Amino acid sequence: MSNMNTNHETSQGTHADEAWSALVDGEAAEHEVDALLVAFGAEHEMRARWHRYQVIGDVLRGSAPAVTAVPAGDFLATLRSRLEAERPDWQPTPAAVARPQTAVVPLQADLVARPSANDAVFRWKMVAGFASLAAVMAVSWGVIGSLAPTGTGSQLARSESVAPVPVAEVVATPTPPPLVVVSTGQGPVIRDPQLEALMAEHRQHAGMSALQMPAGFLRNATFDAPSR
Amino acid sequence: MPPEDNFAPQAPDSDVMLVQRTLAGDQRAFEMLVVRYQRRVERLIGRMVRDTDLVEDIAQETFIRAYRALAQFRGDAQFYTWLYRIAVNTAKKQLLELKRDPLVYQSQMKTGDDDETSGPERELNSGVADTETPEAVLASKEIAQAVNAAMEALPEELRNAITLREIEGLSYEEIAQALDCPIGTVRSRIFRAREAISGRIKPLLERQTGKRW
Repeated sequence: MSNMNTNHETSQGTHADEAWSALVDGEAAEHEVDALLVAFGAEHEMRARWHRYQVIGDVLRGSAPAVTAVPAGDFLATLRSRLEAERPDWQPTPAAVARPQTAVVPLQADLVARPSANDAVFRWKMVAGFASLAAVMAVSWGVIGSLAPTGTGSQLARSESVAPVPVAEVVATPTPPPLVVVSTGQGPVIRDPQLEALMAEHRQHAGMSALQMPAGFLRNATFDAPSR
Repeated sequence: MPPEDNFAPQAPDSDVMLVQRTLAGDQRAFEMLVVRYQRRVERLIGRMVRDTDLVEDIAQETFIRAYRALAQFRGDAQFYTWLYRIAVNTAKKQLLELKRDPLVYQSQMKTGDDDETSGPERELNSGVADTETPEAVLASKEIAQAVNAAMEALPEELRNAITLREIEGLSYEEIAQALDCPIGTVRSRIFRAREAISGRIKPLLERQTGKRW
């Protein structure tokens, strides 16, 4: 078991060490770079390793001497203090540093104001919203207008303050059922099915007289047929 | 010494990645770039300026200017090409300021070596700059010999892998195809080769550069 743990730790350590070599070649994964930067800042040996890897490549390619007059560690230490005093224009705010970005920030293009990409979508959403509201109002207008009787003591409030529908109606008002004329001993009687349905639902309001007695005569509207 | 036309560039993706991290607010990423290019920049400036202290000052100023202008690096050229221009311009500017004092200028100016059109490619086989101290020259030769000896001592598969990467400039994927092995194996072999060479030059470097980081 201890050997397995040692082997696991060794393989983890080797994998982390390999990341240094991979970063030299631009082949390190993003999450590996995160860990490497932390180690570079914290550990002397990691900075020395990075330096050795650079020297190996430069010597193999003949692109730079292995050693210059100024030791690399001294050079970096001097530069570091100057870098910390710098405040370049591109330097992100502390909030932006907390959210590391992976894309290179373009220099000038960002400074040009551009319209939002979803402006058109937002406008259509506003239009759709108004259309929905208008449809609801139209339906309400139609329902209330068809249910409320004209000229009688209806207890139902009738909204007459609703603004005209600015947009074409989305929902068509239903066709009211035809009136039925019934011949009775008292003459022809016009029966309105919608009115009857409403009065059946609201019996306490429809046809109740001051005597609190059902007034059946109010259920029937009468008229005198024109004489011929 | 590799031929001049066999210039294998540093991995550009690595530089771009470090630039991106710097622009995101991580100064350590820029320090990695400094460690990578300090010696090349100093050698470049050393071709134009005699005084070692002045070479170091100009090299420091070069990296500071690069840091300030980092957002202007768009990755369409190699990072060192961009840094090269900054180093040349910084050295020229410094020399112009020194021109006010003819005696100082004459003592600092080197003739015939400030051809800015030569570009970074001409740095190969440029020889030893006068600004490098004898100790540094000797140490560089000693380290170079140790690197070559370590390369010869490597197992063939490790030597092939690191040669294809460092000298030929192939990517891991290309090396995997060339050697007919998985990319993970390429990554491991190159790492092991570097570690083997690193072990040989570590004491030599510590003797020269010290342990201060």
